[in-house]
Amino acid sequence: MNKRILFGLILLLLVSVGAVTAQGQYKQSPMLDADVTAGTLPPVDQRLPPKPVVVDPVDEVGTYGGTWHAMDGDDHLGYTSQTIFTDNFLKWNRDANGMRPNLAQTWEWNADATQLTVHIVQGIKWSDGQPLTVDDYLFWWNDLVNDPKIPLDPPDGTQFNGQLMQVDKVDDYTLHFTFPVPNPLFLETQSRGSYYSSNHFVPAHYLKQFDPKYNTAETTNDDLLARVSFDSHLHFPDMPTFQAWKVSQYTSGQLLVLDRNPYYWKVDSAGNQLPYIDHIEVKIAASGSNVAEQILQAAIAGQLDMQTRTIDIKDISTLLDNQDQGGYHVVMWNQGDFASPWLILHYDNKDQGLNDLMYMKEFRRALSESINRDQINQVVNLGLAKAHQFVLSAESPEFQSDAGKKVYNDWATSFAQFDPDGAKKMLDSIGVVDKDGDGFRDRPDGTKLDVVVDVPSSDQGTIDSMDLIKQDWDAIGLNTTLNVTAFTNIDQRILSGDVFIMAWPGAAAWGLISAPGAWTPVENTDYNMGGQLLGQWYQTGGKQGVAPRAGSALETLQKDYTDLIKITDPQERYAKLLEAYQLHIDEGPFSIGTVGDHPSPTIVKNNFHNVPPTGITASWDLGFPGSADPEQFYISS
Amino acid sequence: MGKYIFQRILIFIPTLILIAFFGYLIMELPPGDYVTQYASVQNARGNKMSEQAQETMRQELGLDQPLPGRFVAWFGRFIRGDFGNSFELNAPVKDIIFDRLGATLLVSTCVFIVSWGIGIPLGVYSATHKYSKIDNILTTLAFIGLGVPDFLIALALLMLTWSMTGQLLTGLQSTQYVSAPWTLPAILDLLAHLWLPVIAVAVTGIAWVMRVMRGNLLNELGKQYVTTLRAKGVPERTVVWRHAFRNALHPLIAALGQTLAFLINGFAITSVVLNVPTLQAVYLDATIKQDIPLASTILVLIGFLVLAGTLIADILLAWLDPRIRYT
Repeated sequence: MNKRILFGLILLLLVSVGAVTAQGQYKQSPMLDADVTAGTLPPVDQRLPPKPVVVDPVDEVGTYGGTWHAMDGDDHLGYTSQTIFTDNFLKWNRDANGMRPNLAQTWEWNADATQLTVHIVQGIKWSDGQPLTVDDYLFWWNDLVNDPKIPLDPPDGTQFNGQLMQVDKVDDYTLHFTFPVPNPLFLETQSRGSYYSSNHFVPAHYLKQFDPKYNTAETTNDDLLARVSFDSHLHFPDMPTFQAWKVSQYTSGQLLVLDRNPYYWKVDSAGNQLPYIDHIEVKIAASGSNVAEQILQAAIAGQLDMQTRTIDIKDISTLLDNQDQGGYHVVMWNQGDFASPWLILHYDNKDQGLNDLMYMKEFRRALSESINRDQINQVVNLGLAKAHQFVLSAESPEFQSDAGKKVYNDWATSFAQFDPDGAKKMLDSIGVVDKDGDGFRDRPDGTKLDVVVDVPSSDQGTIDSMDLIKQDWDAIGLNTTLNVTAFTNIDQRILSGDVFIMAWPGAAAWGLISAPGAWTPVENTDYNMGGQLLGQWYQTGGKQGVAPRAGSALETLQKDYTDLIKITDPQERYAKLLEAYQLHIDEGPFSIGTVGDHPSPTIVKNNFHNVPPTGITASWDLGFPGSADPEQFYISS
Repeated sequence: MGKYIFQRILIFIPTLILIAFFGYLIMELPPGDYVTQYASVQNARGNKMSEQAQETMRQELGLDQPLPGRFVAWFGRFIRGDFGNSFELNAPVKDIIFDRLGATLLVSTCVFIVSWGIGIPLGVYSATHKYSKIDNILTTLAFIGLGVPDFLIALALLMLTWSMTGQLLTGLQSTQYVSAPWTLPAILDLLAHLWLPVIAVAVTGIAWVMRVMRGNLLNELGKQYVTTLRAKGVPERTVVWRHAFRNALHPLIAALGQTLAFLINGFAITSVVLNVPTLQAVYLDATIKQDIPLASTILVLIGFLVLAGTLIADILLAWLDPRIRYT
């Protein structure tokens, strides 16, 4: 009897082992079964790398299938890229506090952070089944970026004082980087948003047919550029990808359809190949239309499964009212914006008299303390934001320690209280008083003082806030004019040194990794703190632009940055970063914050699962919603 | 008649070139060019473009030549049917226009047929029943139709159908039929979406045609030849439709020149509100973003249609009224 039971058990064991072997180690979406049976697609085990990347689902292991309905603002498909094109070297953690290995699984630095060896996941295949190797990265670097005929720029973090990094192939899955200066944040900077390394690993075998170098039938770079440019790379259904979904249909101004990439290289903790969701259907708002309005309408009609970004704060109540009818709920993510609007004070004006004022901390403090921030919060933001000084995003890693929290609080509250009388006294003390009796204050030398603020016409919230600030500044005797105009025009005025103050709509920045120009004038961009010309001066080593005044805090901040980016130890880097921020508290404000930390309403259908409770959307660099791992979202039937 | 048409066409060509030149000039007026715009878009997304890369791009797009050179190069390509590449959408202008032409012409042709088809009979009825109860009602409705902007009507209809059926009728098709073959369900789906923009825009059109028709016909009906006809005992039906109506049609035919351009130029805001993929919405967007190849192509196209419409109207009028063709 016992023997028979034992025999039976052994038989059962053998059968089940056999079944497992036949079925393979990993499971796939039923959508692909027919193709595998027909032999047009290899079995899942052969499609996955030998060691696929394992993703832990947010809540639970999901089920396969379904179509995710979403909406995008225009043909650039930026929101969609931010959703499905964020598989970079590294990936932000789901709470944006640091990064995790992704395409790059291991790496080694030398002691002074000038040499880096990166090992990427072995055996990844493009969506057409061709192997993905470091040659695909080298094609981008050698044949695209380093071809002077192709207007593709070396991205941030690959070029130092005009000297390019050097990239060498070690083997099919290993790259070796050599930098002219210490560059410890290389992997982090190359892993931002949907426009860095996710877009640098390009399908070389496919792109060569559009490159005039390899195909003489191509006379221009247009076909090639359109495919590698991040605002049109989703227009080509025939282009292979290594992201979770591939384009299957694109109709300009109307619709983008994506299907699962059968070769995607990630599995969940139960061995299911990801993604769970089979299709994504993205409605494209027609050119010129108001995408916020379109999203709102579609959401309350229950047509969106998961959508974040471009949902107006003022629409929150409408969204909440229609939750039951639309079958969705609203998850409050954070925008992580430090200021909306952010008043960028310029120290690079053609008019030296204005610069003289800007370099006086009393003048800046008067500007800041005369603003009624609570009023802006209540009137423009329904009281849902937080009123505080210009300060970097609270979620930045350097603010997570106790010391960091203290610096953050000191900074956020510095000169941010509403004190118009104190502001008047400060202006009196530096001689900014009414000299010609017209009711408005003049410069210390008696010439008229016109406070002109450049405001982009594209953002209504910024215009509304600036109307309130104008009233506040007029009330303390500063003759304020709002120059509401197109962003392009403001950019021109910035470069020609005509801007005194600019109101930037919704700004977010992340210490050293995302937009350092927000706190130190080192970036040659229009949002550079203190003015773009200061950043130009820093970037070109003094050949162009405007130098910060000798001995000024701006000069110190530039030097601090130069030293900080060379520090290899993160803890030491954070500590030094906090020291640099201290200058903003002691000598600031150098630019002025209004209200920030807006909630970012995210619409999630009730049968749509595994969406994490937190996400940060204002900065595209953080890669949300891609950083929330959309491949593990699933739809229950 | 032949000579008259030939003369018209002779004036047509230099006017067209002039329109093209001014169209191009207008696009060149704002400060900054496409490259600066492109660079600032990239900047906003954290992607920098060096001065050198911007220069390369300018050369590639031919933006470094002086104005006459830029215009001649552009116009030469234009008449060969090569409208260039849209800066903003990274695709040939020709494709962008053709992609939208179908939806644009569909909506506008329907609008045209509905507004003239309903507007003219209503106008005639109004005129022949002056100050009757129905005339007063129609007049009131016409003034409301003229006074309320079409995009507002569109929004009201959109909300109404949504609250009644739960369907959000934006766009022209449900997503599953976009770029799909034209099967019966696809056509039905199109019709289910099409009526909304057509009605919204046609309300204004009907009101306008009706008012013009009523005014002109009343004017004609008061003239001596009508009195003579009536005195001779000609049936009222023949008096109105054969004689007075034909003469009252002049201003409407003359307005045809504008109508043709309206086909690809009207109801921009309604398209935007209803998310209908029409040319006018693209045109609006291209103008704002200084997408010169796209915007000037559409602008010149509209200019061309105004000219062509005027030409057709001229010929029609000449055919309709012998007095015109001999002056």
